[in-house]
Amino acid sequence: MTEESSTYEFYLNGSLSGEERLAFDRRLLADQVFAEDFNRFREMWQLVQLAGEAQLRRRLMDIHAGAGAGREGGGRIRRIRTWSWLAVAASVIAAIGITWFLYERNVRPAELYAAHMQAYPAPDIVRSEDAAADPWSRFGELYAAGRYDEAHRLITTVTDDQAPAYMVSFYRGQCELLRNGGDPGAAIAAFDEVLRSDNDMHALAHWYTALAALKADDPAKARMHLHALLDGDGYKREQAKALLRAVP
Amino acid sequence: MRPVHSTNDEELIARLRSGTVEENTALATIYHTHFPTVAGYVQRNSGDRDAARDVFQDGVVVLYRHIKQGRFHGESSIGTYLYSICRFLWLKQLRAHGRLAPTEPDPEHLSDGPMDHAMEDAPRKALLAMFDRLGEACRQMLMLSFYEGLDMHTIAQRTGFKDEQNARNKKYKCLKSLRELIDGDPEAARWLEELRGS
Repeated sequence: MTEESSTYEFYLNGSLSGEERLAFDRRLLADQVFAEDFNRFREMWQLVQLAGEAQLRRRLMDIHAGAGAGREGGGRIRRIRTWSWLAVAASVIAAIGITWFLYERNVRPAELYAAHMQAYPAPDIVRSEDAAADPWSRFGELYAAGRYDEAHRLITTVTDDQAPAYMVSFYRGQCELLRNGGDPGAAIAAFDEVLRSDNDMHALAHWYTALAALKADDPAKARMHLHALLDGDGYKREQAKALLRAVP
Repeated sequence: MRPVHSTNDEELIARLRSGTVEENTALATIYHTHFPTVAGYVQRNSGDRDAARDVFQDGVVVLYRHIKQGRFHGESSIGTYLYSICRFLWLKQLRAHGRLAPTEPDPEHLSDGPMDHAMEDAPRKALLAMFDRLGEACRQMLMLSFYEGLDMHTIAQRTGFKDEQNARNKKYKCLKSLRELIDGDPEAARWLEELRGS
């Protein structure tokens, strides 16, 4: 990736003007280093297009089958995990409002947990030919359907070649928080596995560890992970700030 | 899928560009409104209903891309545009199977079929599995940016980042991770190179 990346993107998505496009094409022919860098970028762009098409086809198959919802949830295959910005905005406002209200009342950590906990959307899974024999695909379906007890039992059978270990740990933690009689301590341990490996789910793991710690009545641990979010790349920063003010 | 009463093309295009939940209602409207016409055409021209479904879905994939990339502005109706794409794709299939003699050259604006047709099933699945290894947050970030074509401000709002700059930093990290995955798998790099040349 170079500083040219956004120009590459504009070229590939067709948003350069005719003149700019012509200049770009000329440079591709004249500058080998530029052409090589662009080709490396284009490979990534094409891979994302491929994944996007696969996702769109699943939605179209859902519509064709008359199974409905797709992105709106309840689809035959899986829920699509993209949240609408309206939903996100509403949840941020609601979370901050609820936190302020709870702060004023000087509430217990478990109440803060209940006010802020929202299930993380189901993983978007590329289904194998035989979904019934693929525990990770089946897990995604159960989780998306809110059947967390069954999902929790199944996730222990998912192997490394079916899904990355950190993602399995993350969803195991989710199930511990969401299932009946789940153990917040086990959830914290699962999220800790996510934090100990190199992956891009650290911010999510900090957020849910903080919530699990509140459920486990451990506000000191919750504060520690909320502070980690404030030091991070901006994910959930406003919610973390608001929650920190309310944690006893 | 709940019924959508308005089939105004401008509204459908706006919904598809929005990348919100509205997008699915627009897709469903397009599907229910225009599939019968395309199915009729394919079935009158040596195809069955499954072939009609496949070619219609290919057509929607192309239409979706053209709308996202601003290549379709509503100069003709969605129905006419989609029908032209599907007709072109179906004729191309018939020609490929020797059922139709080559005639006129492919219309340029319709000549880019779905990307996944350019490769075999096994490499496609392997590449998708590799993309899956990227992690949920990065997959979402790159899909919203590269496939949905949303700007960084909207992406930041959608993904819970404080501002555009934070979202941009995340996107940069995601691209780096994706590059590492590709570079770590020589076979994937070769498939992508083939895709590039197709």
